[in-house]
Amino acid sequence: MIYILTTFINALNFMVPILLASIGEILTERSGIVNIGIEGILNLSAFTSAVAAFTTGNPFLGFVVGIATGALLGLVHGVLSTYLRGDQIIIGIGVNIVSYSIGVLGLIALWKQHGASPRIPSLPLISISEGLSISLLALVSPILAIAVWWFLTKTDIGLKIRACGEDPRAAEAMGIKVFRMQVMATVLGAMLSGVAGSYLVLGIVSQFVRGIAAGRGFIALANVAFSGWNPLIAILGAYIFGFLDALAISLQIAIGAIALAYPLRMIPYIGTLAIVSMFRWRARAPRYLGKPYIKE
Amino acid sequence: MCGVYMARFSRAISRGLLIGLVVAIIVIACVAAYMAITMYPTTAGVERKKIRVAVLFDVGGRGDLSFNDMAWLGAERAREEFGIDVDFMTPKSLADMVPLLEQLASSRRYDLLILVGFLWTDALNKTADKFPHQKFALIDATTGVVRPNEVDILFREQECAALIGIIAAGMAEKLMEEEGLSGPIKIGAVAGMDIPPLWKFHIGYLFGAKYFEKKMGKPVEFYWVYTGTFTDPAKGFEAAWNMLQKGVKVLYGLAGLTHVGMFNAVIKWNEEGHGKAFAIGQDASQEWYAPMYIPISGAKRVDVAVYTAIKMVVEGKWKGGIITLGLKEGGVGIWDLEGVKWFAELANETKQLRGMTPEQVYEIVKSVREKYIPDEVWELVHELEEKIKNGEIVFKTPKTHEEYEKIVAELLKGNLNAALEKGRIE
Repeated sequence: MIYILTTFINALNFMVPILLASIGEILTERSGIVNIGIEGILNLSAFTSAVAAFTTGNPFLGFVVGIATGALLGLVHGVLSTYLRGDQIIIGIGVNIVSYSIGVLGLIALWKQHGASPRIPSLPLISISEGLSISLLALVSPILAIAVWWFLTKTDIGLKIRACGEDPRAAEAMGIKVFRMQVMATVLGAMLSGVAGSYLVLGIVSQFVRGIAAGRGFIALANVAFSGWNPLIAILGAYIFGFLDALAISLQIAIGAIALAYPLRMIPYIGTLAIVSMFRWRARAPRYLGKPYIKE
Repeated sequence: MCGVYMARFSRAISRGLLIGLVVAIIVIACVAAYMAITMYPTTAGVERKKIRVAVLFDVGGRGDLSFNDMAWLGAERAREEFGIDVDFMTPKSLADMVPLLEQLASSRRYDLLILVGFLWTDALNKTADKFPHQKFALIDATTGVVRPNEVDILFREQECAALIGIIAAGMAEKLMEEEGLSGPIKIGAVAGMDIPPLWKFHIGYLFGAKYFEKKMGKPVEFYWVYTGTFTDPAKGFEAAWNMLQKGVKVLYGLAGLTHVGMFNAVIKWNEEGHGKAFAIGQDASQEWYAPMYIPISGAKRVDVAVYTAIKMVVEGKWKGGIITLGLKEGGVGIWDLEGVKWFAELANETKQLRGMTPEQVYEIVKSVREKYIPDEVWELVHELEEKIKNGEIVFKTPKTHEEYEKIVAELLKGNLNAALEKGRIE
């Protein structure tokens, strides 16, 4: 019984990177820009924050650098896909490839390693009770999700951002600077992914590893669709993804039958499929999502 | 107005860009062709006598501080001793392996291609027959086919894992004694993918634990987790944390980059005061990573395997088939303090050893080992080591997953002989 409870709490730590990346992507997509480069943002901000934390010994500075990296990649994506009318999917793929490669080359250049960095000072976990710890960000990230929801639905700027995603032409007619809004939303979204990337290194693992995002950016993309572009539902989605991951491991430990190792590890994937197909939120994608807006 | 101008402007850019691109491609092609023509005779004429070897890492690449780094070590040793040329390559993905092999084999540039790791098996099976002139050495896996141009070098992992199993149980007992805990001794392992080399580790480690149980008369509870990945440290952390929550005291890392996450879980567990626990490394000596909490590592001498393969080519004693390396051949074992120091120095050279000198690593590991591995445990280890070395007992190597499951189930019941092909433990 207690063991089941620990699984629920452990899942919180798994949830964090997916949740942060998801709400960032929701913010971006609501403005009409698709950024499939979040996997790359996770990888690169993880790398830069690792380097910063390693050289200065200060994990908080690592976070700052990671967020700045996210902002920079967001700016590149935003400007390319608005003012320069780039294909958003292709830019995203480019960011994914470049970021991964910078991580690999950086490891070689700095530590002559091809796979992993040395140990990096990380944030302490918050101890709940004997043997139960969660990261500070496990508490902060749901709050951030609520903040993003509030920002999108209750503020003027949020309304403007959504208008750009629904009908940029009309938004433009109302005097909204569409490109500026979209770039801003992309940068903010990418900064949240930057936090997620830094968290992977500084929150748990205490080390940068080549391709550390391990597909979490893509899971976040799935979560965005699952949540119906609603940051509040994204909390639930990210938690379910995190929980299924934690469950796959704890069931293996609890049952201990190696014959079941493969079926148990399929839990996250089958569970994801089941949940995504079971729930249908009454939501649809922003109407102008992914289409470059061409000014008349 | 502005829009029209922009559109015309971008059209002009794209036309210019297109022309530029075509010109660039033509120039690059010409340069490449020129280089291919001029370079080829020199490599063929002058350097042909020098033996060239390519070491192809598995997708993990170097820097796992473990498997691939060891392959590099063995090749470097061979380079120094035999004066050969060695190149290192890492495939980008599994899909990249077959094209890479075909390209290298058809270039006829290398006398020997050394493929590091199980993941190369399929790719080699698809290419080996097409290039009979090309020698391949597959490390730590077998294609199951005997070819004159292919050597498969396997390890008898069970042998080192069994010794580690005894030590893990011994250390866990000592840790529990120190904390005043009662109940069964709990040890565990974080494993990567469910593949044959790990089956052997599982059998050996479990055998060692149960050997300890039998000889010392103290029950050992055993945990084993497949994370399904060699590259996701967050999963390794999670698996380790989970077992630590269950009261596991010693964790054995068998998952490449994934078990680096396990190390960090153990370090955090200790440093944040949840209790005391140890981690055990594998393949290379990994004590330097956190000598306070990683007092010992199992050795899988991939370097010895790579060196052996190169030596066969250099000395002209090439013979296709399967070779296995165990305790007797020095292919597996436990890293001694000299090995620990050597790896600490390597880590220091690459600026990874922060705030410690290699000597300090050596001293810390030495004192932790003295404190937590009592003499009677070492005696058990040496006793088993002797039995293995002189061939008194030989471990089974499961051919199928069913066979593996059966052996593990029997071992869990305490039937040690189920894991043995030859000899008996009374």
